[in-house]
Amino acid sequence: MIKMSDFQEMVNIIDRSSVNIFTFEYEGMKIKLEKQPILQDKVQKEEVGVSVSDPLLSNEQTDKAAKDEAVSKEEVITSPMVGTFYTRANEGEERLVQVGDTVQKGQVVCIVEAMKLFNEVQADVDGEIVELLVGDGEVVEYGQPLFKLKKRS
Amino acid sequence: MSVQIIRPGLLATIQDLGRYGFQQYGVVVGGAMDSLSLRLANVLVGNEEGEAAIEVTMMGTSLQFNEDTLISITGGDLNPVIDGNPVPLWRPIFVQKNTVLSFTGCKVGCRAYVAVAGGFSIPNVMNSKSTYIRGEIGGFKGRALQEGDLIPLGEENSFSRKIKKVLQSKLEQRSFASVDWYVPFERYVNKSVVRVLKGTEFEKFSESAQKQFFEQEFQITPQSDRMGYRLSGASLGLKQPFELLSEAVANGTIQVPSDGNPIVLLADRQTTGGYPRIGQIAAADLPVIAQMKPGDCVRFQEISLYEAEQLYMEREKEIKQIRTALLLKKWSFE
Repeated sequence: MIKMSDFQEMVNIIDRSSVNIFTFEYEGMKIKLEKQPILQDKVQKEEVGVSVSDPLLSNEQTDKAAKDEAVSKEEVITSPMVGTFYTRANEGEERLVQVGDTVQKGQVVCIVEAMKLFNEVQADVDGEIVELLVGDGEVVEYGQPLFKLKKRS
Repeated sequence: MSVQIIRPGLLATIQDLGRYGFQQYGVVVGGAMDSLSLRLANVLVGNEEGEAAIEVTMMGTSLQFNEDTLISITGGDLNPVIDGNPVPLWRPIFVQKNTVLSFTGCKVGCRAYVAVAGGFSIPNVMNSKSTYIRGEIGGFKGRALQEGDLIPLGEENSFSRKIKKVLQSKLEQRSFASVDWYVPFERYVNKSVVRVLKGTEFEKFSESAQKQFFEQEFQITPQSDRMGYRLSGASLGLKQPFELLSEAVANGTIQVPSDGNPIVLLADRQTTGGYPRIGQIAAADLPVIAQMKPGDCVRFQEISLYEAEQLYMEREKEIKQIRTALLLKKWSFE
């Protein structure tokens, strides 16, 4: 049988490697590890330009222009409460939505957990998920953007 | 107010947390197989945790609510539907008068619990509303629910009335409405590993039996019910045969008769047993085994008494947090 320490070592090695998905089968046991490419995306974006993505730092004029432009194409789904962000409705299940998925108004896109209650967050418009702004298990604030959404025209 | 049984299905009984205090007289404890789901079902509709609910087994059960009622469904996903629409689990649900709720099949797990706000207004027998079928006591007339049974409901409290009112306004065209939050307990329903302490006679089993018990898979046979699950797999032999006086057994005790096939004692277990005990399922994992059905395979993982106690305390803390969170929800409705 595989020991917990072996498994931990395995996770560490995969974590440091460039491998994104890793499946391992041994004596009827199956382990699947999957890294989140979304997080890398986010890091890159932050490096490119803080001023554009963070309206608080830019001056009001450009901010307004940028915002107007953004709103016409992109919507943001924000967190309704303080809590822990999850992309899955239950442990071990598929993600509720992936980048590139089209969602309908009212569709549940993620979960925010507060005090052991899982609160469903719904899309408020029809559209396509273009970016996931928060990682699974991260703590989110009230009003914090969770997804970028391209509104369906 | 009442609930009417349209179809009883495979087996539906009224269960609470069990009949404690009478084991010394040989009275079986009984109660919900998955007590965690029962407790949460009650908490979600504003009841006391130990209120009686309907335990639905596997499939086929249909219930009709004769008045507007606040209900919740927890435990296994037995595909509950109202007017052909799937009903979500693990949350309070408002159902309109004359709505029929049907369980159409086992998606995940084995038993679902339907709690109603106010609970069931049926008599306590030895401090419990649990049905013990073999002894014909408790529950509704001491038996499994049958077609046409009309079970009267108790009085709802202010919390239940509040949620009911809020949900009623969300009905639109449908006959039921729910909330956009739930308690995250489905993860306990679809597991195959159960954590176990070494039993009192563990050392008396042969070395290969001790090894196989924690390494091999055991299958739940069709000769399994609320009293216990008979398992098949490796035959677990003793170092040498010995006689044992009957002693008290507990929920989750794993005993091994001379044929070597283990039996897991569950809710409707007898009060004493005389077979050697190879293991004892940790309290926190009793809901896991209770949601397994014949044909499913289980693997036992050894943990220490200390770990089992930690798991138990963590679980209780989690339930307490949910209770608090629900109170906050109540205020947010005001």
